[in-house]
Amino acid sequence: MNLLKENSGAAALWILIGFVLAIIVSFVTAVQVKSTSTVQFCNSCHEMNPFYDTWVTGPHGLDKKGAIRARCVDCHLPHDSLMNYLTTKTKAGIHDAKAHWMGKKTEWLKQWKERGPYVHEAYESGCLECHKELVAPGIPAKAVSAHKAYLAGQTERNCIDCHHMVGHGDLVQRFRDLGYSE
Amino acid sequence: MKKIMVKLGVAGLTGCLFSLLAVTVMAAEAPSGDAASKASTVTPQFHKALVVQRGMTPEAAKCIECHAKKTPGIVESWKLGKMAHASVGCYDCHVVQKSSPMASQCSGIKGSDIYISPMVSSKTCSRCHPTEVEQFLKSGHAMLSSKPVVDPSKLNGKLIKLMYHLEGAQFIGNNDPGSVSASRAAGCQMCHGGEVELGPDNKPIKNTWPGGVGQRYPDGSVGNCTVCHTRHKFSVAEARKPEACASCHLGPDHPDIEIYIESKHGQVFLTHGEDWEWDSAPDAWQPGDYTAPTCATCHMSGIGELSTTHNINERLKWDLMHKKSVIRSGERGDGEKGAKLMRQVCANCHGSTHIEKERQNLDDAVALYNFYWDGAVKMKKDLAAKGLLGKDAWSDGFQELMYYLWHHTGRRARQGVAMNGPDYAHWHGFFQIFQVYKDMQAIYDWRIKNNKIEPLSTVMSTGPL
Repeated sequence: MNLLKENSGAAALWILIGFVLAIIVSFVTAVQVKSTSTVQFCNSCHEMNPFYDTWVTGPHGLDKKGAIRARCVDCHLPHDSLMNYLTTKTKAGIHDAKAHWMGKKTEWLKQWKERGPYVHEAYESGCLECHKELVAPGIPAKAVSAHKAYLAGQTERNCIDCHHMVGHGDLVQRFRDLGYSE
Repeated sequence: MKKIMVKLGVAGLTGCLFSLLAVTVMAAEAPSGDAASKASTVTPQFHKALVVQRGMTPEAAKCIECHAKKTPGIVESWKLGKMAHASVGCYDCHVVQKSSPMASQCSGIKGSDIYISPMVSSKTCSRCHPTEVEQFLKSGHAMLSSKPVVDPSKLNGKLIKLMYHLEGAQFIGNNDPGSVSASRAAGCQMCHGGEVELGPDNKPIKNTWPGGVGQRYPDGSVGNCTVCHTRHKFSVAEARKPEACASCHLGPDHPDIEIYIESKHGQVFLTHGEDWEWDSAPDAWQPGDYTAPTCATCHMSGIGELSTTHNINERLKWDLMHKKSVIRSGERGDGEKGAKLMRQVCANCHGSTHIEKERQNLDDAVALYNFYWDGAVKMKKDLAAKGLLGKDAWSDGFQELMYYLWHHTGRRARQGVAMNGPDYAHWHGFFQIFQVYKDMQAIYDWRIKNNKIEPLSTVMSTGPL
């Protein structure tokens, strides 16, 4: 206490330094979180090219006129809580960077064959972040009944189980065309 | 030094506070956090005014227009069903992605980027009817149903041998692949289902499609819903009628439709069924809509406090299909639970004394059948130990009769009692069981006495009908 009193001027200076430092660190972090959330950033690694190409022509992609576009992070990161979002982003980022630098090639078709093609890391909470109202005015009659069990919580199926083409179209076919082995 | 440490501490603390602030800034980028809570609490809000698009996409409409000319029977049937009312057309169920193992193109879409499959499995239906399909897949109607037809490990391959080697006449030199599998394709497969094999154009070959309820598809999916809800009307009323079950549950080995027809339930159905209400909503189809149950009422439908189930094992106590009757367990269900559920079904129309009599009667009949079966097994073991069993069971009188004992008369007796068919419980059931048993006994005694197998099978017919 005495210490602070004696040096109140200096203490204020240190607090100010702390403030400035924190602002800088926070700003840099926020900018980094934002800049690493762009589609261009994800596609800057060549491994992501097929996923980018299929996204561009897919229902959420650039080529669809009038559609709301979803970026990679909108689907492939959880949107249930901020903490989960940031930790998953960090973990996935480290994983992907490691795989890239180690030159690991993923045999996607083989991998999907073993665990089924539609079991992947797209998060339901991501879908629901935008598609808040499934039974919305203007939807086709059949969509009302199709979502009934889901809305009533009577099924464990999630969005991707039925709408598996929604992110990247026919991804299996794309990797076949690219000559990946099965 | 101390002073500097304290100062740094204060600065650090302030920094932490600001980091928290920064996280708030990042929140603009990251999610709002309400998605997960929405997912679990969203409830159907059907009270809202809905602007529903009744029309179809141009592609979907084109399928219907073309097929109305090419296969009018299909479209005529479809337009009367609830699928058409809900605007679910050909496109919705038949379109697959190009990479699907079943993807092919009809002449109308040749050259386009649309791919279809004539094969539609329960997986497709589950997109709109997930609960029904989840229940169905747990039942004996799914994987277990097609197991005898496709799994060579089942009964050490005896059933595969029966289909091709015996019925397909390989044992007398037939090696024409088409006719070898003709019986399987027209018989076994049409009720049990089989495994679809594909040609180079991804269309089914070797008569492996269509197939029955447990059909297995090239994309790994299992089950054919159109067995009970036939194409292309998919009528719930149809599936509630005994005729829906009768196309498979009939004949000498499990005459369930015959048993039902001769039961009091069947009598009421035959007399008044035309006046019943068949089309009530699921779970709302209740006594009053009908005055006696059909197969579906007891085994599947929502009744009283019970909800509809597509798991036909759910309300069963005993296994009345196999050699020895045991209380169902494991992949065949939970018999103890099933017994309670079935009593709950009965209680909608019957008092406790009547229910108790029927359930006790079934338990007693199962015990009686099992007593016969245990006796037969004892004789067989004895003969085997003395080397007095023929190598080919199908030309060995004792073994042939033993097959009919459980597979035909034994099932008729047990299922006849379970579903209240007196003629099947008695004349086609226990009356024949004791006769078959006595014949087996006579063969057993002769072989033991003479220490050899009789030169010719004494069972010359196809068995007791």
